[in-house]
Amino acid sequence: SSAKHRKRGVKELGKLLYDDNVSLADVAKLWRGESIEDQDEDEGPDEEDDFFKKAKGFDEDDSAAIDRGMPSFDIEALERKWKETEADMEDLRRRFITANLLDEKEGRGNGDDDD
Amino acid sequence: MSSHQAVSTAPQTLAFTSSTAFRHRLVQATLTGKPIRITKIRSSSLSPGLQPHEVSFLRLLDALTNGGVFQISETGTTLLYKPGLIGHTPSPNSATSSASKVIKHVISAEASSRGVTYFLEPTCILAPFSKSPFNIIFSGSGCVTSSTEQDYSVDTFRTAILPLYSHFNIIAKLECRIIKRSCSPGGGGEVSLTFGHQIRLPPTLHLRNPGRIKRIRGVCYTIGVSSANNQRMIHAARDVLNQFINDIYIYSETVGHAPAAADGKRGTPGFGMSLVATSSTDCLYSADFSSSTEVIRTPEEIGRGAALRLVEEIERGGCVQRVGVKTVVSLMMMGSEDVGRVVLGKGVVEEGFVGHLRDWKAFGCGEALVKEWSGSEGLAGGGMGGMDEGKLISLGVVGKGVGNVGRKVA
Repeated sequence: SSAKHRKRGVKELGKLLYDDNVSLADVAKLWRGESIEDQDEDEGPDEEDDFFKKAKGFDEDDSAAIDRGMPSFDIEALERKWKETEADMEDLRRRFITANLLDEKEGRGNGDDDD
Repeated sequence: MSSHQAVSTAPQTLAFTSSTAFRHRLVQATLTGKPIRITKIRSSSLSPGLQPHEVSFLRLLDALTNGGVFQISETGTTLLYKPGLIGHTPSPNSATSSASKVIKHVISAEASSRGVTYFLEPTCILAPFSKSPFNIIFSGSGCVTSSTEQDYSVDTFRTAILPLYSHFNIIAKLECRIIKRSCSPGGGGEVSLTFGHQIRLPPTLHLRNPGRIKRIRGVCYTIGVSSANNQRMIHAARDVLNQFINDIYIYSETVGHAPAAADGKRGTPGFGMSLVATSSTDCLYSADFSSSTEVIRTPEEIGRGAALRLVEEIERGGCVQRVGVKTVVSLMMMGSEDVGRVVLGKGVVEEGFVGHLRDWKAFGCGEALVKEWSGSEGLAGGGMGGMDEGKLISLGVVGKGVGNVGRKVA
């Protein structure tokens, strides 16, 4: 069932939310605009409940997701991502009120083009 | 068997399976007044049934409501819950209640794997709909105020979760204070919560502009270790954050000795950091990182890690961050029968959140409507807080108008 949902717009995806044939993990991925085939990186091919089996080592039922208060972070993945971010910070800088100021400075202080 | 399916077995009793979304399902049952039966709670686990922190949460729920029924099977793998009315009535023979109506919730050492925010977050979702104010003191050898692997810190709760209620005009007499700081495991901390703003119906929310980050605040704490660690954490965090903004202030808290553990032994020493970024439209993004007894990390790693986590949340964007969405959606569901809207970053949508929306439907509350957000609607210039429009969704929620059944209409 998963493949046929792949190319739908977010508007249509609203309906998928309440379709019990679509797993929570798949709804989340589709809402984020990801393709649901992305998931079989190190996992076997299309098992329906892939996500829940990934919940690691906490002595839980296979079907249960831990009732977390805080998202889990992979600090090494964040470090890798930060390296990319440092290379091109413009996207992230635009999220700060100082963005315009930095844009102006860009030509002078920052970047590969020299003075 | 999928965990999110709800099938009506007996009249009005909703059926769920597994320990997934345990707290929020109990909150949803309490808010809507619908009994639930949860089966297969860790039924195939080596330690089957409810865990100590879950039992502790049930005890708290019992104290916060009147007339609720809790039936737990012998193995602890099945729970039947018939909610009562929200509001604490002090029992006449309780020594503490006569003077102050304070609920004292003591968390046992066995439950110290979870932070005390495990209890604070769902408690506050119930609080606006109580017939009387909540005054609670959390303590005991399982009371952990710092962040843990699975829970954010009380500092983050105080500065990034409690302010979410102001979006619903719930602003008066809200206070959360850390009386005694503690780390996991070991606990021994103490936290007081006052939630004195009760309402009939939350107003319809229209939260559409995430704005841009204007300041970053934070708290770093050392418990039973040298206070010099605070400066090391701050330095490492600033190293990451200063390139974005200068308005950064991180407070230092130093506690000389960790609170003693239950058997009189020394408590767990540790340190950690909580960071909160505030946008020009008062949207909040937060991050936590703290030392743990399993992995040895330097203060620099903690400070830098907290900063990277904050950057990650800011990048995911939208008006409400991941740790806040369930609170916001819950209040929207309880609101009047009108379409409320909140703009979320696509990166905020995770399995647990989707499950939360499905659970609300199972409880007979409103359906959520989602669409890609085209930022320009009704906003004067400035774009969407520097975010590409393709990264945002607009979530519409039609409230059910359940509101507060215990509170008299003014």
